[in-house]
Amino acid sequence: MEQSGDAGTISTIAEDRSVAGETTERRRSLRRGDLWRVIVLGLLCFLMIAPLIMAIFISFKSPSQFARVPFTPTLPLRWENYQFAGQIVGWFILAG
Amino acid sequence: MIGKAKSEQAVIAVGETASTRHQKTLWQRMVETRTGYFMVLPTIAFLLVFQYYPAVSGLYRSLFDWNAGLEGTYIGLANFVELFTDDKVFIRSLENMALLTVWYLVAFVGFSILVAVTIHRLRSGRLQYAFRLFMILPVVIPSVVLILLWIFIYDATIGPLNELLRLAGLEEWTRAWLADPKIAIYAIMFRNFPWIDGISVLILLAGLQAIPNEVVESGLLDGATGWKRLWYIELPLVTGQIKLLIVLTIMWSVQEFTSVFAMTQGGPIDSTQVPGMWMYFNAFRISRMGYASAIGVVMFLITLVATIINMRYIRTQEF
Repeated sequence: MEQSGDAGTISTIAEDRSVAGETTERRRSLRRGDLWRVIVLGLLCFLMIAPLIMAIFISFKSPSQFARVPFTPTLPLRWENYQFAGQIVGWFILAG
Repeated sequence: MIGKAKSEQAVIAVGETASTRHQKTLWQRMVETRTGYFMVLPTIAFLLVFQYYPAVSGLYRSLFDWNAGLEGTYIGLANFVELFTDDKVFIRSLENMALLTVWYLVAFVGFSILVAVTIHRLRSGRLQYAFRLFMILPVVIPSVVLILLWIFIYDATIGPLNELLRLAGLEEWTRAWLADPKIAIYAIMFRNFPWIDGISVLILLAGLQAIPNEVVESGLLDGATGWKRLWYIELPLVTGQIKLLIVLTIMWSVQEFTSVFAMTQGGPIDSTQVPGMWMYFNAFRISRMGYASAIGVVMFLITLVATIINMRYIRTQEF
């Protein structure tokens, strides 16, 4: 009885090991499957967010900075744009 | 014993209430539930005044030759006859509308399905969450800002698109994208690349997540993997969501106005004219309000027919 119990335990461990091996293998293949999904989705996300990033860069430029270097950030940052925009938007949001 | 008697009494009472309620007239029932009616009354009043009255008034005014501020003259269906026989711009606008509708259905619904399925199949919950967040992030930007950015991207002299083409050695491909009558409508279609609508992705993801695991697992056991899983299990079970997106996209495409107004105002030479823009032009630029109302009625009928076809021929599957 005891012996069969032992045998049962051993076979269970062996099964567990094989299941564990299978699971690790499966996980690896799943990760490999996930990799192209992550690359494609990452690229799409970048393309979707790129205009937003571009808008943020441009929001800190003076007209001459924008004319010379339109795409990348330039120094000094022109915070006055926000001050000016705040004044104009304030008229509409706070009704004067 | 006492408990049993009480429950019997309760059953009888419920039966009586149900039968008496059945005998009461609609008016009596309305008086009984008057508090509820009073609560929805303001909403109904506002809806009638600000939504239904203008719509019905538009239907009525489409039968008039009516300039804003003047008395209208009843002319029957003459506005509609003129629209379809004598107005080449309107016919052109209908062609553009059809082109945009087909494209928006392919781009905004089709690509959103592919993206939603790809996110849904990610094994990592964290990655799923992160991509879902990034998909919805651009929604916070006002659409006009995006349109203005695309006007800048298409700019003939300093636009990044022409700059990219120059860098790639394709100088002969560069052009004034929004000023070329042959290209302008495609430039409007191409805007917002990669054409993924965050809200559509969220709606579809919700549908995909609601599919019971047992259904997917039994499909997988039967060998439905990859495209088969998409085609035979996932797509049929999110038909409800797809149907909703199709209806919304058709409505949105037929009523397209903002992007055309901001990007080209229907030009150059009416090459990007759409019914919404043509209606606006007739109503507020040349004061032909009756004619503009007739355009509005045609747009309403197109949306109605497209929605009915969609509701009738795309069947929703339940699980």
